[in-house]
Amino acid sequence: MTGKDSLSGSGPVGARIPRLDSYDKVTGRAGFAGDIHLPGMWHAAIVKSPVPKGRIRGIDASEALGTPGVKAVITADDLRSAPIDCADIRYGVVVRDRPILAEGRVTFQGEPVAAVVAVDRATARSAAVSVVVDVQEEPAATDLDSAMGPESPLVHEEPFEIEDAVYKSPLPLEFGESNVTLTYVTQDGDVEAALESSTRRYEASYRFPAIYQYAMEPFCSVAQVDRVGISVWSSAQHPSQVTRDLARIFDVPLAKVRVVVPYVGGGFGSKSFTHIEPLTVALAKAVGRPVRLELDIAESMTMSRRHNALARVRSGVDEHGQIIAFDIDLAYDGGAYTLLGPYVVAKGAFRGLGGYEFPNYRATSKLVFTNTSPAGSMRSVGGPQAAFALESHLDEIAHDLGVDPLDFRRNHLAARGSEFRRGRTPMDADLHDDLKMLEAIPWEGDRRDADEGGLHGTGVAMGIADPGASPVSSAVVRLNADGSLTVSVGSTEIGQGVRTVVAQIAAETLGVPFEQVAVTYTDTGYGPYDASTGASRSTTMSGLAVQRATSEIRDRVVGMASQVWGCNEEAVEISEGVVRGPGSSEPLGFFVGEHFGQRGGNFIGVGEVTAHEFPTTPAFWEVAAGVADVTVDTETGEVRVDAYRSIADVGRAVNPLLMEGQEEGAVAQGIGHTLFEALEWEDGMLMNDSMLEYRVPRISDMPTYMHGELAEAEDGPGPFGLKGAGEGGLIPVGGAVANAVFDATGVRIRELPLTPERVWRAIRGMAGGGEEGS
Amino acid sequence: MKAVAIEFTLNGRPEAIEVQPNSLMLDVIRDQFGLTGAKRSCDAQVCGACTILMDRLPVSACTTLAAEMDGADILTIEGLAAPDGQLHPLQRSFVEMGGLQCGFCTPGFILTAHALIEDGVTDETALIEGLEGNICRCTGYRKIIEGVTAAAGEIARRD
Repeated sequence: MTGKDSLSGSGPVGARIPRLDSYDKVTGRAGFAGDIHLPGMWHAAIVKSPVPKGRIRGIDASEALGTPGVKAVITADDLRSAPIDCADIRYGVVVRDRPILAEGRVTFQGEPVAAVVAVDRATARSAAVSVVVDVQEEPAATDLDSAMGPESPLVHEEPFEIEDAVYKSPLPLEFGESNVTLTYVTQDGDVEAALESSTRRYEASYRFPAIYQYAMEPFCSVAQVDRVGISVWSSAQHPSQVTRDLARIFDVPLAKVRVVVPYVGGGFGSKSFTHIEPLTVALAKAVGRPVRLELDIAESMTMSRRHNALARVRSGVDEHGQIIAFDIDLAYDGGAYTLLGPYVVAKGAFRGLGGYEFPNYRATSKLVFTNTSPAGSMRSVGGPQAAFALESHLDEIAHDLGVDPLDFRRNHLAARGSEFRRGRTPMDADLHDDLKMLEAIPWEGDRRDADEGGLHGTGVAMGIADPGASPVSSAVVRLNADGSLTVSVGSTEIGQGVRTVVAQIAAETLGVPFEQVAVTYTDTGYGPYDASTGASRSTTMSGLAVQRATSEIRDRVVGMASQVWGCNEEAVEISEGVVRGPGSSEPLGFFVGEHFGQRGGNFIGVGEVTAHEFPTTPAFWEVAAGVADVTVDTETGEVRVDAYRSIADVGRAVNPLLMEGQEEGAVAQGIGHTLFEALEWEDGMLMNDSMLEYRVPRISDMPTYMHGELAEAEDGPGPFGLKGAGEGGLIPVGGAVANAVFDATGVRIRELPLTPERVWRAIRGMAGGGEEGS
Repeated sequence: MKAVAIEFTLNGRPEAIEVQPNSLMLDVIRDQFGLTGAKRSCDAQVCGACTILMDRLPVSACTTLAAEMDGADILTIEGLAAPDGQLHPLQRSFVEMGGLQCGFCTPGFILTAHALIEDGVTDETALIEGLEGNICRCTGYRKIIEGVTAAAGEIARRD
């Protein structure tokens, strides 16, 4: 991929600067939660539900408790009494429905039912296996389609308390009547009447699998509880939210909960929100020692996943070949607990309409409970599922009308400033320019070896998302007496490079060399608040807070310099760590010393971003598009992505090297859910719970040709006109590849992933080839 | 179980310890020697995050018994850079090309690539084939391929 090295000037912003953490990461020094050892620390393991649904009749831990090295076995019965003393045992980002340990009943196979604490991890894990959980099994709602039916057993019959914090549900949730707990609708015009008056009508269903994020670092938390408070080191993306949940669950002030996030070994949404931290704290309280709980992959799979989904699309075009009615009905399988579900389905509704101008549209998006592991967030929540349906459907109409698929999309793009979604932020990008940029990327298909056999095809898709959730961030920047800068943000370093990027923003804003900036790691005990790390928001929101905090320091220094030198503030400038005025210059640190009267002290700048600043959502539209070139082996059904060309409309790339990495990584994850990945359950039992059976993209699966362009119109709300990015690139991949497979074979496959078996069957017109996606 | 006495070389220095016959190499290297660069992820020899070189060959330390280290020459990521902290060309290449993001897979990738390059592999296709046993979920592999290929070329020219 290529990006412009720098748009203006030669400052740190726009430069391809290697990550701040690269040295520590290539030498093995970078510390992750699993690398932390506290003195006297014991280790924990969880005991899991063997079945998808039922009443817990008893838990027999006698063998575990008789095992040398085992210190305690904890069940839900122990949580409310001393020494654990939970004020509440349920938590959740929107609804407080998820128990620390299952109480009375289990709702999915793999749900934590008890926990064992032992002197080491191996002892804890083998003892956990010996705990017998006696469950009276009950009929379960084990798949999306049957769970929506009137005859289906209910996953939850009782209502739960609502968590009224960062994420408020757009609508009230309904428990007890049906497994469909929320139906979100966004619409404009009269879609039914428009369908009636259409000259051609289309209808199809599309299916998208459940996806495991596979952050390579499994979930890990270390907890220590003393009279000062609760300290947790965790692989968490949103430590401020974890802090809030722990304070409420254990009834202590926010000030007495400290969540520290070392380097995180990948997140992709899996580590959003609170997962194992309450249990780890409960165990530390139970045994009066620090406790570490480190899950394995099978256990991590049950914490969070991407919602599998079914989309039914109806559309109608007029005599000019323009879509006049577009109706998408989405059902998302949320598994057993709500997690971010209401947001996922609402986001999905918008992502299923894309950046297109439809005079009459309706998106209906449902959240459905099933007795499977809970679905949470994953890179572009609700997006790839909805966009696969939308972009496949547009391709089908274009082919039916005999119009070039890219031109067909062009004919429907929302113009800059258009209020293309009622009540939402008008389109803030030039989508026509973005598509021109995409078209201009060279690729003649000449790398394909004609003798290799197989059918070749090309497909295009777009992805327009409403990201930037919860625009609340703060930052603290300190100018030290030697002129160096210390930057603190609440946004976590999950690999995306936020620490490097905020250091660049601070260096550029004050005028200091990049090497003079350090960024602290995230610690809610010391550092500023940040709502979350996700939804492509960090560089925009945290970045804006850092820019404001640094500007505060800059203003202070400039004011002092103009007083000391008796000149106008406009005559003072700062670059390379030196403050210059008419005939005078001093290093930055000089003014710190002047203020404090000795060579010590620091200037502290505070920057804030509040939700009031963004009265309409989204804060910006995230725009991406991609073209896939594929080869389909008709003998085996294997699909190979030969080339992938893409654009991302990022406003401004603070660090093109890192930005390209985000885009390339997003494409790889898109190829994963398009060709290989799917969590598979049979009667509520997860069948592929290891990396031997759950297939993610390997190095040889990547296209031999990848080229991404970054559109930099400096038209975003973030510092230097940037927009958030990092999720968008993933959204178009499924549609682009499936459309390319159609182009190659003439066969429309409406279900992902495009496994060899599914493609082989589809080519032969056999059942199981994703023909109707249902 | 009776402990087993083993002797081996770890990052160039001789070591003699006792391990349980069922102890895993990954646990011993991480917990006993405090070398935490090798990571636990899949526990199934699929992902390569725990890769350590044993007699110059990559092994998955998550599924290798510690007792097997007896008599071997062991290299972990902590032993790759020069004693003065100067990065190995592969490490430098990963830094400059942006071949890492979260960093969890990085030590394994670098050690596998090191074994391949030491074995004389320089061709991009052969390097990709050799790295098939290492998974990265962040980068999309493109910049890893660029980094490894560039380092292989640099090392070949140097030798």
